[in-house]
Amino acid sequence: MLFVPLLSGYVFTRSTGVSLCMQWISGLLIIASITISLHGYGVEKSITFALIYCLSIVGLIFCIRNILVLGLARSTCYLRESLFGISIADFLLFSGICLFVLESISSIAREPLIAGDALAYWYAKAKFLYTWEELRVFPTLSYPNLGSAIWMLGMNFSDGAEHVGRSFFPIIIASIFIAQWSLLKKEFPVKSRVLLTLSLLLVYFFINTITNKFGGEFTYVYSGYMDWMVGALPAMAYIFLIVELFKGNRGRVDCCYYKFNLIRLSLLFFIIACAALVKMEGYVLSIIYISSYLGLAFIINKENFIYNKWNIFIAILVAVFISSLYMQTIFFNGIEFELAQKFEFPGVQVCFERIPIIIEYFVKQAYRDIEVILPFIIATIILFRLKEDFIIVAIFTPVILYYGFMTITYTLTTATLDWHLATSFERLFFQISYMYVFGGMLFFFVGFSSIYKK
Amino acid sequence: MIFRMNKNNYIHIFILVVLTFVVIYESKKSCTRMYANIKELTLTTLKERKEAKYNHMGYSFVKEIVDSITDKRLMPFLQYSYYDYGVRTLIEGTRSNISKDMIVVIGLDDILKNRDGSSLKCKTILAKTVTTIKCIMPDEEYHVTGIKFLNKLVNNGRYKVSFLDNKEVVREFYFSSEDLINTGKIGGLLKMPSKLTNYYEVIDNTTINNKHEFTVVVEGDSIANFIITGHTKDIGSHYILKWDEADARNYFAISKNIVSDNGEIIKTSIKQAVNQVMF
Repeated sequence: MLFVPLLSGYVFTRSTGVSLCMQWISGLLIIASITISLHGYGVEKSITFALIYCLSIVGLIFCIRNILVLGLARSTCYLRESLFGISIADFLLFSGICLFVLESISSIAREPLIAGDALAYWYAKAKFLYTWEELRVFPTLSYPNLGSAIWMLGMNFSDGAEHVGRSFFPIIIASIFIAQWSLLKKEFPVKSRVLLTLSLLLVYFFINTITNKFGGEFTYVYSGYMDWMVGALPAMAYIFLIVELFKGNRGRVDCCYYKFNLIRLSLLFFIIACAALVKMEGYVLSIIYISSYLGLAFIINKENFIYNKWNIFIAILVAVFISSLYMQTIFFNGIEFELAQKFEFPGVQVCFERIPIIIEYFVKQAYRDIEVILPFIIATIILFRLKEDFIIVAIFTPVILYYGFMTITYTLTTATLDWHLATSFERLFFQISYMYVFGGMLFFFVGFSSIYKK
Repeated sequence: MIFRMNKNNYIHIFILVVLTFVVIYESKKSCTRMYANIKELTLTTLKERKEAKYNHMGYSFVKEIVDSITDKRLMPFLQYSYYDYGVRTLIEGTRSNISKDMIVVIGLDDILKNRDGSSLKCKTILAKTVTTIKCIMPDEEYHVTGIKFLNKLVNNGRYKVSFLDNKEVVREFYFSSEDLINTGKIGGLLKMPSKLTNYYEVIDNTTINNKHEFTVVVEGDSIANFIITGHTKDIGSHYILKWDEADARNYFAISKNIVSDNGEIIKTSIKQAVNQVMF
C-alpha cells in the first residue's frame, strides 16, 4: 500500500520534480482511477490488480535505471542527504504530524465505523468494490467512488478489514501537508529560525484539520466521509500551480517549470480533476480551480500562455477525461439514475428572502472555524502590507467563486431550505476551508520570505 | 553572527511562543487520547466494540438473521423506529437485493400509538378477573402484534384472551403466564400464535378497519392489567416468525402475500432463506 502507489506514481512523475509524498499521492490516485475505470468496464479484479502491479514494476525498473544513470555513489549520497540532512524544522513537522496520525490510527482501530453517510454510501461502495460486484448493483450510483476505491485498496491488503483501509486516510492527509511543506520550503527559502515557526504553524493547521469534527461527533478525515478528500486534493494541486505562476509573475522564473512542463501540468490538472471522482461537488471544485488558474495565467502573462497553448489544451483534455471517468463507466453500463438534489429558480422574491438566511449560516460557520480563518486573515493583512496583490487574488478567486456556488445552490434548492442548510452547509464550507490552510501557509511563506530573506 | 532585535523579530518570537504552547497542549491531549485508545484496544475485542456501538440499531439481531441467509446478496427489508440506513452495510455480504417479502422490525413493537405519537383513545373496564380494553384504531396503516401485561400474572394460571372487532371475534386463544415473553420488567409480552404452524398473527387494518373500535378481553385466574402492542409502519400484512430474545421490540416477519392458505411459502428463494433463518 505504500510502495505500490509510490512506484506507480514514479512512472508518471519522475520528470516533474515533485516530492516523494506528492509522488505517492499521485500514484495512489492513478491506481484508484485505474481500479474504478477497469471495474466499471467489467474487467476482472485479478487482471486489474495484475496491471497495477505491472505498473509498479515498471516504476521500479525506472527507479533502478535512474540509480544506475546517476551512479551508485551519487545515489547513496543523495539518499544520505535526504535522510540525515533534515533540519530541526523538518524534524518538528514530521514528528508533530506523525503523533497525530498515530493517534488517528489508534482511534480508527478502537472506534467501529458509525457515521451514517459513510456506512450507507462510501463504505458500502468500498465493500462492493472489494467483492468486485457489478457496477449496476452498487448503492447510490449518482455518487462517484474514487474515495471508496482507495478505501478498498487498503482493505485488500488486510483481508477486508475496513479500519485498515480507513487508516490510510490520515496518512494521505499527512502526505498532502508534507508535500505542501516540501514545495513551499523549496520555492520560498527563509532563515532556519523562521522555518521553525512555519513548521509549527503547519503542525497547528494539521492538528485543526485532522481533529476537526462536524456535528460534534464525526471526524472529517477518518470517519469515512469524503469531504476532506474532495477539498484537499484540488486545493493542494492549485497551490502547486499558483506557486509556479507566482514565481513567473515575479520574474524569478524557472524556465523548466514556467514553460508549463506538460507532464507536471497534466499531473496537477489530473489531481484537481480527481475531485470530481470523489464527490459530485468535485465537478464544481475542479471547474472553479482550473478556470481560476487559467484566468489568472491568461491575465498576467498572455504571451507565455499563448506560447504554451498546446500544453494547456492537453492538460485540459486530461482533466476532462479524468473527471468524466466515472460517468463514462455509468453510460457504458447503460445505468440510469436520479440526482439526489433538484434545483429550479424559485422566483426573485424567494431568492432575496433566502439570501439573509444563507449569509447567517456563513457568519456562524466562519465563527466556528475561527482557528483556521484567523491565521489566514493575519497572513492576508501581512501580504497586503507587502503589496503582494497577485497571490492574494490567486487565493481569493476560487474561494469567492465557491461561495458564489454555495449561495446559488441554496437559493435554487427545491428541498426545504432549513433542512438543506442544516445537513450540508458545514460540509460544503469545510471543503473550501483547505484554501485557508494551504493558502494561509503560502501567504506566510511568501510574507516571511520577503521579511526574513535567507 | 550578531542577532539584533527589531520589531519583526519581536513579532516572530511572539508567534513562535504562542504556536509552541498550542502545539504542546494539543500534543499532550493527543497522547492522552492515544493512551486511552490503546488501553481499550487491549481490553476489548473488535466484536465487543462493534456490538456496544451498533446495538442501538439492533445490529446483533439483524446480523444473526442475515448472516444465516446463504445468498449474500439477499437482504430483508429493515424497518426502524428512527432514521437509520447503515446496518445493511455492516452485515456480511454485499446485500443489494432487498426483499420486501422478509421484514426485520427494529425497536418498533411496543405500545401501539397513532403515527403522530399520540396515545390511542382507549377505555379500560375491570370486572373481577375480566379486563376489557376498547380502543379506537389509528386512521392509517397499523399492526397489532399482541398485548403487554403491566402486572404479574399468577404462576401456572390459565387465561383466555379475545380480540374483537365490534363484538365479532377475530382471534381467541388460551395462554398461561409461562407463554409470556420476558421483557425484563414486571408482566410480560404476549404475541398471538397463528393457526398456521410456526407463525404469529398480526392484526392490521385489513382485518379491522381504521377508526373501528377494537376490543381485547383477558379473563382468567387473576386480574390482568395490559395494553395493546404494535406499530404503524407501512410494511403490509405480515406474520411474525421470530423475535429478539434480548429485546422483544425487534422481530423477523414474512409478508402474507407469499404465504398460501395452508401456511406454505410460495416463493422458493424466500422459503429457502426463511428455513435458513429458522432452522
